[in-house]
Amino acid sequence: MREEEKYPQGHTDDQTVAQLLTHLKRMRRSVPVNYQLKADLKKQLLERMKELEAKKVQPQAERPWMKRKWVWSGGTVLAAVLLIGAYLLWWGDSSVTINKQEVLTLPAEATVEQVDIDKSATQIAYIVQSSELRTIPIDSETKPVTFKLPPTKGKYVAVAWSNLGKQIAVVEQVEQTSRIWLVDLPTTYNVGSSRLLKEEEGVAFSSPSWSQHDDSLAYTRSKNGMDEIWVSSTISFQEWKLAEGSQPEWSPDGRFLSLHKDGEIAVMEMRTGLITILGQGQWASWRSEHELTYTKADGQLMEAELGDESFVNRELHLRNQSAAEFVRGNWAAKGKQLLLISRESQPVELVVSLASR
Amino acid sequence: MGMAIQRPAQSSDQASGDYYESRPFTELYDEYFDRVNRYLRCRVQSTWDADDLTTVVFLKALEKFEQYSRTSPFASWIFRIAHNTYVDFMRKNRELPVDQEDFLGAEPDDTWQPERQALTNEEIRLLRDRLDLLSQDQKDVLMLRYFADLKISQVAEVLGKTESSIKMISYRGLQKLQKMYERGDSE
Repeated sequence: MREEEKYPQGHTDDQTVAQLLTHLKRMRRSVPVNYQLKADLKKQLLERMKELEAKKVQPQAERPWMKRKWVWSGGTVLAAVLLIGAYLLWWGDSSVTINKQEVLTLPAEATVEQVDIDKSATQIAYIVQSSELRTIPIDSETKPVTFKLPPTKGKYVAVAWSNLGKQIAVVEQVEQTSRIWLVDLPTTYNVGSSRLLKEEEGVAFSSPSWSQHDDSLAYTRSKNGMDEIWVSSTISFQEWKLAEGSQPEWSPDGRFLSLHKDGEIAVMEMRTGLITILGQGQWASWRSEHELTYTKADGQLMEAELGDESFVNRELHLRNQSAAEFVRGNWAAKGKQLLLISRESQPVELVVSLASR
Repeated sequence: MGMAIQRPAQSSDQASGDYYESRPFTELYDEYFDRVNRYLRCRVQSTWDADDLTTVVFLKALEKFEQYSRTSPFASWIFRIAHNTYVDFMRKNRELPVDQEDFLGAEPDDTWQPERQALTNEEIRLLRDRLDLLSQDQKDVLMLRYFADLKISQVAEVLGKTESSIKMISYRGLQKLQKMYERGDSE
């Protein structure tokens, strides 16, 4: 018996402990090892090691010609700046141009909450056939991902990217029970996983929105026709009611929370709880710390700029807009990209496009 | 394997009396895969989950390998990752139902031997049922000590406890387990 096993000496029967230890040792040896996995994983690790080494070498190799590149591209940059200046003067500051039409189409029964863009505008996540979460890349560096959500007899009704882009909140609705899951998407290093944040019977959760540091999730809790905004900590699982209303959206700095109540968009200052009504509309999205857009009932995109004591509302024109009725816009890339969700009538489907400002 | 060899290699793990792990990642993987896989297969009911977790452990280990100091045993380091991965998995999956049929050893693999495995599967199930009756600390310590085959000092390092407390927890856990075997609990 080894030194550390002598501790119980004098307290128990050595012989029976020895028998138990022998039994445990035998049990350990009898647990089968997955040697197929061992071989497969080794290949995967070797490939990953090659990638990591290549990444280390690449930046050094790039340096000699980077300086030259800067010099000759200076003129190009200057020309680009002039062009951009002219572009801004020409189009003004009150328009958004749709530059990628129909990035994605979803069936007629899909809702505007079933699709979202990540904050860095590199990928779009959406629900497929009520059982899978899929991403489609916007840039060339990101790879598409398919994640199987926990099996459900109901359906998944809403998705929301976290601010850091590492997690997605999804809402599951099964008859009278509603659940909010937090999904870690699979990456090179991790297999994907999901964990339950909140489950409640007799209610319907919707419109999740992550707080500035992804440590809380605000969502709508609807019960008996009453909409309330609740917040759950993604760390401690504490929860509390914030306000009456729906469609909560945190401003990027966490100072404000926009909400929808009685057909109007309002903004609540988190520190004071002071609520300011901006106007008739729905589906607010923050473009910056003090600017947000929302959609009027006729599909007009509105922009509100919050001042210290007042706010300014104005119409935001969508250029290259198709015949589809605009429903919701989600800002990303610090107010440079806009995910547009519109409802097409011929055929009936939900159309997702990308616009920039 | 250049990334694994960041320091001058030494032939001995105990050079000049101080611990130094000189082997590259791939060699350590070859040595420790079986122990990590067995440990997770003992701790998690589903072999599929256990194998997924084993994959996660080694991918994480590769990602963080440059942070491994090499002056402490690799066993403590890799099992700290394995244990944390297991704890995280249990926390995330606490609401999900466990498929009872998918218990340890039910899935055939390269090492599967029906005539021997049938008996040991039942014994392992019984042992796991009994371990489940222990406190979380006792379970963690006994699993790391006897199924991951770690030394007391390494278990202490993995769980962030003192060696004396690990010895005490181990002693009490073994006593409790022994009584269960004597009484035939959970049979």
